[in-house]
Amino acid sequence: MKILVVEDSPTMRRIIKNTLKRIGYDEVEEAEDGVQALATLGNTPIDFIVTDWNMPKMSGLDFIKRVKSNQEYKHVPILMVTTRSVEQDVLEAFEAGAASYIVKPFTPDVLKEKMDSILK
Amino acid sequence: MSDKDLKSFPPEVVDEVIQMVQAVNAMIAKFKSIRTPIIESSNSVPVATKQLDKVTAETEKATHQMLDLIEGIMEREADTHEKANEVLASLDADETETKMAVEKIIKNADQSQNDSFMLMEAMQFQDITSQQINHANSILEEIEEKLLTLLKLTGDSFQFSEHSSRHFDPDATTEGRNHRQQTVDEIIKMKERAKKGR
Repeated sequence: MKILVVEDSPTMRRIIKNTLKRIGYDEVEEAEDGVQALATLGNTPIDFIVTDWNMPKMSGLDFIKRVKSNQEYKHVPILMVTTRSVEQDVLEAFEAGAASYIVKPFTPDVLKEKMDSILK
Repeated sequence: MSDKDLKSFPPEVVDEVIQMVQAVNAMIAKFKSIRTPIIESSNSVPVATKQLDKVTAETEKATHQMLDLIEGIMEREADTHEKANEVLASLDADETETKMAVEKIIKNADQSQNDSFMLMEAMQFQDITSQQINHANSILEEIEEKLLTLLKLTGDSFQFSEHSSRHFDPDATTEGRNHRQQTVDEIIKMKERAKKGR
């Protein structure tokens, strides 16, 4: 399964990638922002997306909306991983099409639990 | 307006006008006296934001150096685990002591791997503190803009410095992650229940 990690912080990209590897997902593509992620989606088959919210060029929320409005990728599940945790943000993410939501800093257990529940 | 013109007004109006002029002059004098500190303050903001951006860059660099080391440790411990397992499989049943020693090596390697992973997990602080610093910087840049706007009102011409666009969550924190995740999970559950109830 190929996972696309969309995250502007190089530190977080590295941590998420390592965590995914630890819980059994070795194939990971990386993008620094929503614009780069859309380009990746255009040329690489992606099965799952993990995205941050606060990013330059295109926010994670706008990125989700763009993915969900595209017939080709709308089926790809998206997990939001962000520091934002107020109710309004969570609801907005779901409204946009996120499949689940994780608050940073996260633990590998939470990431595994959310991924398992989305992919079951 | 000449003194002659002024005299054509009732004296109480003249007094009032004189007091108003004096108040305005006092305000101008006061503003002139704080002009220099305002200029100095607005000039200090880019210096402060640059320093704070430097903190973010340095922390990020140090975090990646630590991540390099942690990944190295994890790789070596995984290798130790694998090799020790091979040794364990090759041992005869009566080599009890050696078996116990190898099992201990495997246990230690696993523990080191787990601990290293926890260290990696803790490195998430770097992303969160950089968001906090970006928040502080954006407040400073707002203050700088307001100070320069104030100076412009007095006729001074100042160039607004270019600010890089900053992306951050103003509430980013490393505190209470379990509680915050639980709260989010509750919201998700409520949403799912509402969806089912429809």
